[in-house]
Amino acid sequence: MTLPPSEDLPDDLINAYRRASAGDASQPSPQVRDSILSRAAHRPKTSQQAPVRVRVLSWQWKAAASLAVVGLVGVLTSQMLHTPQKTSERQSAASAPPPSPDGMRESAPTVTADSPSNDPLTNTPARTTARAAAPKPIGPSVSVSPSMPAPEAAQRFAAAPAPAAAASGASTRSADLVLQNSVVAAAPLDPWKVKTLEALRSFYPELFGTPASLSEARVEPVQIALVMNEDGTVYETAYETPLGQDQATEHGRPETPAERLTLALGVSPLELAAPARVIVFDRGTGQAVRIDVTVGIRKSR
Amino acid sequence: MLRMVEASESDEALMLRYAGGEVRAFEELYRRHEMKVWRFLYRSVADQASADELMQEVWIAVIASVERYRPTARFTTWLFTLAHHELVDRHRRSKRLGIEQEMVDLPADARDEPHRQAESSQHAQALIAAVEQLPAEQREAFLLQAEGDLSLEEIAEATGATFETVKSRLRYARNKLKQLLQEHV
Repeated sequence: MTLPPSEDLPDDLINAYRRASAGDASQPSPQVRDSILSRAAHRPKTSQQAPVRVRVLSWQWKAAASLAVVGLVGVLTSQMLHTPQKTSERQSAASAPPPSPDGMRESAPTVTADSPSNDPLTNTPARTTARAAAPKPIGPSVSVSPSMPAPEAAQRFAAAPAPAAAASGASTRSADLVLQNSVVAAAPLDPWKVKTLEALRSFYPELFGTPASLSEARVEPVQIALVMNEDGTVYETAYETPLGQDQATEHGRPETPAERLTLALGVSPLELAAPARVIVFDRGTGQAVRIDVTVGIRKSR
Repeated sequence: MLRMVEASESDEALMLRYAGGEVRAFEELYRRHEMKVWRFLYRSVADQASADELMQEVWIAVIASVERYRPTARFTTWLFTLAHHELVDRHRRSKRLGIEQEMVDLPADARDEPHRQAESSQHAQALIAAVEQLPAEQREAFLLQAEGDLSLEEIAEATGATFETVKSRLRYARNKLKQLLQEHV
């Protein structure tokens, strides 16, 4: 007795077709083949040298989103419980002159770098002696702030008024342009920020959509691990495991950017030409895009 | 530094290497899948010029998407998904349904393609002709399985149909093919 052929397995008919098809002389014209291969060879490219491994941990986005929501609710609840006296302060301050525009988050997208206290040079004494080069000094217009926990960052974005940004015309520009401008304007002395941004645009274009696609963009911070070669090309990159997830909880939360790179990409700090650092790209509108990039520069061999 | 393309290297790894700038990785990918994609397209449109055009569009889509490519599924599934989309676009543009209806009534050897008439095996030619005479959705499901070597789940993913729909299309395709072949005999 024979079983009826499963639709999921090759049967005689499919095998017969494959044999017939293999004997069929039809093929694409040589011009088409040449055109395709030529197009492939001349693809515009930002990184042409090193092989790149990109890993996507899609399920972790969901976990990260859940964590961000939980964190946001927690922070908001805690604020509600601890703000009665602050409310009275605010009421008394209401009669005071309005705050200066410098305090408005949405008015100026910023690039922030991690504080020295987050750097392996200062955080890990043993490594301080192992490393000769300190991070480049950051330009005066770049704000340097202590790294911020995700829930706090989420709250900050949630509080950022989108209508103000829309009124100022920011929503009519792509996030790409806004981020690009912010980086160029804020960090003219640090080309690595520009290179980092270029790499992000190249490998994660979905993070730089038009305003229409931004409406569907993630609101939780995006965490990316990135190791670049000294010539600015990408050596390896990955959506980093969100903090508090996966290996981070199994082996303790990574303390330094270098350790994060090791966890996310398996790149040892010894392979890096300079200490790893965290660069935060953010845009203070209601459609917040915050990209935390842990970036390292790999030694040339 | 150039790396040799290993025969055992997965399609996904090759795609990532191409994303990193290794053109040879793409050439190897193209070599592996050229004829599968070509036959899928050619059997779908039964016209050399249209198939050539589609072939170019599919692979240009691959090249254009390489930066965004993520190996979350088999490369083959992704590739044939692109091919499916190109076919759908083409169908929309040309309103091919009417044309297809005309083609059903044509005997295989009446087509204006001399190289096809030179096929040594009449049975093989009849089988191919029968596949080309299948209704579009059944033919596509059959070709994705036979040429793309996709599973039912992957065919469903590539075409946006449900698993049960794909299963049904394949069953109908088989029955229709057997019927057409019997008529030929």
